[in-house]
Amino acid sequence: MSETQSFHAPGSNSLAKLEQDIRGNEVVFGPLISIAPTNAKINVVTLTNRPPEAEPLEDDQLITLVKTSDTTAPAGRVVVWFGRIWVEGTLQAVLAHRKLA
Amino acid sequence: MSHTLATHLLAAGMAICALSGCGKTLMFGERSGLNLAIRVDPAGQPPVMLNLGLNRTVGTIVPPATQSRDNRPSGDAISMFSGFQVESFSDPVQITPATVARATGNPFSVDLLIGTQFASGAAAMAVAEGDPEVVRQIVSVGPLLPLSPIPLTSIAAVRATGSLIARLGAEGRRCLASDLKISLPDRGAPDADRTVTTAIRQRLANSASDASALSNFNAMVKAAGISNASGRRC
Repeated sequence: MSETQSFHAPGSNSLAKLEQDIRGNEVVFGPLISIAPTNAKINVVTLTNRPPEAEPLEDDQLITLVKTSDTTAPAGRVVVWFGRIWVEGTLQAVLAHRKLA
Repeated sequence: MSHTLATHLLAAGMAICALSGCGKTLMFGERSGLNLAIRVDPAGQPPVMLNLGLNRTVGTIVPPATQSRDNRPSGDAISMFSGFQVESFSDPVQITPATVARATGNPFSVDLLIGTQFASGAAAMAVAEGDPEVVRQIVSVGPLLPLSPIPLTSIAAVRATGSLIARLGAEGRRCLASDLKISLPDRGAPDADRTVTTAIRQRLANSASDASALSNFNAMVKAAGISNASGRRC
């Protein structure tokens, strides 16, 4: 069984909805690795599938998504991923960051 | 693989090789073609025929592991293996003569995703010799699941349930999976616990949008923990 788990999410989702769904699934599976847009206006979200005995992530460990072309993480945060993905049906630059461990 | 396509691919590779000086460079190329043919004949039987085909070509130019001073190959070729999976998803549209005739939407709006991954050289050798399960993972591109909606109000309960699952132990997770009617892998299967746990997590994610379903799921996890503590084996 793979140590990653990939999902598809509609490209029509708002960024807030996508972030919320990813955060919820980070709790179930594990931390976000990447988001990739497809020509079919769908985002492919890949998460870590953490080991069976590992505890779920806490709230302050979950991902934050922001629309920006600036790849700099806010203070105390680390960039996890940056790229263009489908947000409300259009390709937009998005930065994913999380709290520095 | 089409011989013509393979020839073209290798010819292109040789051209690249000439440009790059033809060192110890492994080249890996892929080509995917999707062909769609539709025949409509109202008097025919069936009146609409749809033919969907995927033509996929994978080619590699594999240099030898070592070369002598006069550039003659020596030793085994660099190892590599790859895998891919074609998957369709999105709106399931029933393609019937009626829907095509109405043409109210796009009856061919089926999204295809072609996943591929490969390992080569030292990485391929390392995992092939030491961990066959990793090889299986590389040549078996996993299926895509829909990203389950998990409401903000459910996250605490999902975390609590996830924590219980983590603490169940491998046998407890097997029993929980059995209770959830998840087919169990053999005990000796590689990474059996992770396989079981992933299936349980998928069920947890699916239940998270419904408070009642999530509560029932949590109760099942607790019951599995209690029965496991009393020595149940599954």
